[in-house]
Amino acid sequence: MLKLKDIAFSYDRKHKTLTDISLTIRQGEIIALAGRNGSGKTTLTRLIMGLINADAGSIKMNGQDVTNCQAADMAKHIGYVFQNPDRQLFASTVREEIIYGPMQLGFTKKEIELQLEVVLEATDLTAFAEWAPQTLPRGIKQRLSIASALAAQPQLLILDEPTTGQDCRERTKLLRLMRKLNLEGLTILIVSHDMDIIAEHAKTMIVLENGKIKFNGAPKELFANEKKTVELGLEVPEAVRISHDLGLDICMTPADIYQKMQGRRDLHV
Amino acid sequence: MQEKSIRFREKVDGNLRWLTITTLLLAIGVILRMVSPNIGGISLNWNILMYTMAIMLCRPTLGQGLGIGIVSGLVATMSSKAALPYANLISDPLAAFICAYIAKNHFFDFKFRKVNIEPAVLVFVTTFISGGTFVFITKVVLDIPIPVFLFVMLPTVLIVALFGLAAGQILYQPANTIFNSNINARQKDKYSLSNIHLFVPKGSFSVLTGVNGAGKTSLLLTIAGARMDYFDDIYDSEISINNISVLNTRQSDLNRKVGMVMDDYEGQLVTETIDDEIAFSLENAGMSPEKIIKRRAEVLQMVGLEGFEKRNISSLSGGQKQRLAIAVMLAMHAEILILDEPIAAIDPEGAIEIYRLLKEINKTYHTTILVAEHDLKYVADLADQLIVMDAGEMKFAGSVHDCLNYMHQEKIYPEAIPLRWKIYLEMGDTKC
Repeated sequence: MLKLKDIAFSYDRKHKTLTDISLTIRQGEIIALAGRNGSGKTTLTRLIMGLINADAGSIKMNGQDVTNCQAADMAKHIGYVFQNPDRQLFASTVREEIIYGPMQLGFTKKEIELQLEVVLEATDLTAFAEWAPQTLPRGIKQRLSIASALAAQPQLLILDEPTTGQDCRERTKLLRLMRKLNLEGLTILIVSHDMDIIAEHAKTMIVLENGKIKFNGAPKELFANEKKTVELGLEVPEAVRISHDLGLDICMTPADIYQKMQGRRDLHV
Repeated sequence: MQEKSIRFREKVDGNLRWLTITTLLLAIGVILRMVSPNIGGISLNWNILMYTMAIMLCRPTLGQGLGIGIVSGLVATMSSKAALPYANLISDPLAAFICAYIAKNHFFDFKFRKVNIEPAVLVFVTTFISGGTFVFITKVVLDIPIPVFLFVMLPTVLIVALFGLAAGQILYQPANTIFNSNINARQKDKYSLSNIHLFVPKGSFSVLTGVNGAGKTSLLLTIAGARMDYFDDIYDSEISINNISVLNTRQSDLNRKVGMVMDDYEGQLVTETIDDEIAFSLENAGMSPEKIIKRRAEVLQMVGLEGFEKRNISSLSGGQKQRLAIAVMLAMHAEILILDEPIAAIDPEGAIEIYRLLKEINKTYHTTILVAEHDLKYVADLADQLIVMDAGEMKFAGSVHDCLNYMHQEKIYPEAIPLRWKIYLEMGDTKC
């Protein structure tokens, strides 16, 4: 769906922020982007969004060259949810916030109304339709950011640290929503420091370091190598660590652990 | 900290709200007294019922309670047909004062079969005290025989008090809905705290958890002595930390002992460089330049920021800014360090470092540390005590093991239980 080839980018022409970035995001997958602060994650997402343009290399979306497309063009295909929802919420009601994107993209009135209804329901925000966004709790604001992005019917949704500042209950709700949207066919790129989320949800993982891709593959492949994971400034996910401590085969999710432990018990019985 | 039940009630409708409600209810009481029927010559004492209701609705100070009693006594004296009406000038102020004391401390604020019976009990007690005092004074002044006092006057007071008991229970709820609807709605919001039963030993490392809105920040602010002026807090007893009675200590005194780093710690950093930031607080505290330089070097070493003195704060990482905010608090010789979600905006490497630093400060300098945190995997091995809050109430405080077990069993914020503990608690026989 989205293909980046030999991308290079620099803010000041002296220090390269991104070098030799080649990656493919496939339709319908959840792909994770990880790495230390300053490794180039945000720059890469800004580049994909068309907020900045690459110095070298090419970007293709569904086979079409979009390397030099601007943000307004890319907004038709890609939705972006900021880490801090306050940065993108500005309308006076939830309803107005959601319909702003489709209105700017030239949707018809009927389409806008339909989209509003669909995303309010999908994000469980129907009850908050007339609320002022700034008065909502952080977790609900985050869901509203997602709703606003979804209203423009993007093919790819970029979530930048979506669980930051959320309590564990809201975090669970948000991840469940992400999973549901993905099952409905939405491609998701999640930028996160939380390896537990990546281990449980991502099919592919890209790790950046100093603007270069240091890993591109299945999360399980990286997490099986604890030394490399730590070298890249990442935490080994809890499930992986626990399965190791318990002498189980590598587990990526809590459910895996329970299943394998149950299996081991049954064997002993 | 010792015992503790704190309630916050916002001062709505101004400081004279209690006076308005009392005046209105006393006026209604006078009218009802004139028109209400009696049973066998005994009728409900509307006057006492109304000032008791006013006290329950407003929870006034003891001085205000006494004032309510004096006004009520004057009204009763002028409208009474009793043999010695002036006895009301003693009986009503005394009963209203005691009623205000009981109401303020919520002595009878408990439920019987899910119904709060405070109105019934308080009206009964107040009526009995007022009536008992009234008939005692009458007996003494008019020299009434003891059998008449014991077998006629006191039983009459008891019957009137029983009438009051029933009327109080029936009328309180509608009155509360009419006069306190604004307050009741607001009390359900994030500022409301109740049933706080907490003890934080000196030099301990305690962690407070609960969903957003559970009351963690309100509790931390209370402990830090940063209560807002527009709250009229009603509390059963006092909070003390490191033997400091928080609610009875001046805020300026608390500031010298308690340091708080808010979740938005960047908002606390006001200067350009690390050096300036620490010097700013110390200079405001009146420290000499020589002492500032010495203390600044000490705290920067404590938090691992030595060598960064001239760095611009805006160039620091989230973890470094958090360290600087902690250093500022330590520079002021804070005995107690309170942090509200210190790692919320920090990457995992930074989070581990912050908690390693806090534990080191706790161990080396015996600083009492209290932290609000969602991600318990970072603190489960460090904390001496874990406290869980839900809907403004403290649900459990104890060892990490006991508290996580409680959260698991009672399903109180179970989402926060670290996976390792969840497996341990669910599988029981497995050591993680």
